[in-house]
Parts: sequence; C-alpha cells; structure tokens
Amino acid sequence: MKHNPLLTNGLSITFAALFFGSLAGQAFSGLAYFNEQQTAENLEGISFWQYVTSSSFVVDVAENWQSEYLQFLLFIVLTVWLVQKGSPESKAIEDRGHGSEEDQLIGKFAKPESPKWAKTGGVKTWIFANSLGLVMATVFILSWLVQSVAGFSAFAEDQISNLQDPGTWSEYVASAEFWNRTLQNWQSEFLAVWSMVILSVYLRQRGSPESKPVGEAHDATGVSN
Amino acid sequence: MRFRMTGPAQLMPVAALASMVLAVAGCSGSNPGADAAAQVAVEFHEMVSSGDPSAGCELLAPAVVEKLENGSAGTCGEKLSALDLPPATRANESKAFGSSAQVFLDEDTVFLTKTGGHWKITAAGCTSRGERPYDCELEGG
Repeated sequence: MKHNPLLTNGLSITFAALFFGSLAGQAFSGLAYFNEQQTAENLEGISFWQYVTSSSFVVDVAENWQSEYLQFLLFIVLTVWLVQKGSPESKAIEDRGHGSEEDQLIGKFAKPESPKWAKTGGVKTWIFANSLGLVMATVFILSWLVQSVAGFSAFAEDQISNLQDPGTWSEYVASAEFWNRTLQNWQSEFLAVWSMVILSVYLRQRGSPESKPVGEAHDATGVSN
Repeated sequence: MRFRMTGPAQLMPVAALASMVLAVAGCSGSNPGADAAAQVAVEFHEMVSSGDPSAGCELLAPAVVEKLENGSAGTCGEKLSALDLPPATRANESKAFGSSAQVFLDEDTVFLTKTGGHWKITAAGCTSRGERPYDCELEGG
C-alpha cells in the first residue's frame, strides 16, 4: 500500500518546520533585544539583515548547535559499547560492541537491497558503517569553531565599546567567556540524555518508539515500541 | 532516542547549513571597516592639530559631543582644542569588529563606533591601563 509522502515523512517535516520557526523567532526576538540594548547605550539600532549576519546572532545559534551535535555524537557512539539495564535507549547487555558482519549485513552478508557501500568492503564500508557518527562529529566541530570565531568577534566588539583591548582569538578560546558559553550548553544536553536513559527504565509513553511497551518489565533491556 | 541510519543524501542539508553558518561567521569577524576607521581617526587628529577643531567635532559620536558641550560655556570646537590631545599623524594598526573599532596611532589610541554607515569617534587621547578600560581625555557619557 502506497502512503502519502507527507505521512511517511511526518517526523522530518514537523521537526524541520519547528526548527525554521524557532530560528526565525530567535532572529526577531534577538533583534528586538539587541536594539533595546543599543538604545540603552545611546547607540544606533540595526536592521534585521545586519542582525542575522552579526556575530551576536551567529554565536547564539552556533553555541546551541555544537552542544546538540555533541550530545547526539556521544549518544550514538557510546551506546555501541555502553548499555543501561532496563532502558529502551540501550541495546541488550550481551549485544555490546560493533556487532558481527552478519549482524550488520556487511560484505557477503549484505542483502540485494543493502546500500552499495555496505557490500563493497574496505575503506568505503568502514566509512559508511561510521557515517552517522562522522557527520555528527564534523558538524559538532564546525559549529564549535563557528562559535569560537563569532563569539570572539562579538566579545571583541563589546570590549572595544567598553574602551578595552579586544584580545586575540586564541586568548578568547582560553577565556572564561568561551568556556562558560560552551559548558552551560553541554551540561543541559548531558542532563537531558541522562534523564532520558534512566526515566525510560521506569516510565512509559504509550506508542512511542522511545519507550518500552507499557506492560514491559522495568528490567527488560533493548526493547522498544 | 533510538536513531535510525539515514543516507548521505538526507544529511546534505545539515552540511549545507553548517557551511552557511561558517561563511557568515567568517564575514562577521575583523572586517575591511578597519581601514575606514583608521582614516577617520587620522583625519580627526589632522583637523584638531591644524586649527580646525570644529571640523573635528563632525567626526565625533553624538554622545561625545553632548558630553563635551555640557557644563561650562563654549562650543564643541573650542572645548576640543582646549583638550590636551597628543599630536598623532599616522595609523599603525586598526581593529574593527561589528560596529566597534580601535585604532592605534603613532601617538594616540582612538575608539570608534559605526553610526549611519560612518565611523564616529567615541574616545580619543587614550592610554592603556592593562585589563581595565583605557583612560581617555575625550570620551562619551
């Protein structure tokens, strides 16, 4: 039976809409806040386009992106080896590790419909077998780099307007400002994953693939809807 | 969060957005405005030292003019020439970030802000005090 693509892609469409809506909301509310501060300091306000290309906006976006991608990267990679008894976020205790080629449908165990790079073997298969983590790691590193560059620019602008030296990028990445921005995001991401892993042992969300079936035992591991 | 493997094509938007943000960040760093700011700082000193301080007032940010004109009687130009600004003639280094710039002249350090597309001076006659804000002969409120 053929389904409507809007139905079969509902999750990605909904989150894309939520993302763009939130980003637009952040841009407009951020501009209003920025211009309020400019007025308070007897400085000229800026336009929407000037704001969304400013270091202040870019650093606010990038510092959240890097922490989200770090969270997903660690979660994706660490759950290869680390398990949590009773959590639907975990594999079964005895399934720890990469899994055999047969389990993973790699090389001669690939099915006719398997992706091409799962069949070829060698470097291509290694890359494909780790592509999710590699892309998450790349976006994390790029976002963190962007945070450092835009953050330095915003910090330097503030320093100069306060009649202080702006310093350098390398001084900024060793500064309290940079690490405060970074760690305040990291702690919330790690808390969210930690609570998700533990709460899903004892709590249920009927019908959600992030939860075990309602009647499943608390200690059942690697089971989800 | 149980993640399902997605194909490289579905990850393209993520990579594209990341590169876009990287490009934007690159543009928002130290920018070509540094040269324009240095030119304004040099012009300002030329005007003040050549006996045309009222023209120098045109290059000051509104808050600086306001502070200068407050208090005792006298025009902005008269008060500007009464200040003991060092006689700088050449810019050695200039740094601009967003709407703020700092210019190191041969005999002075000047701070500027971008207002209405033009660099205006927010402080001049400044000497460094290390981590603390510069001590400036001329500055806004």
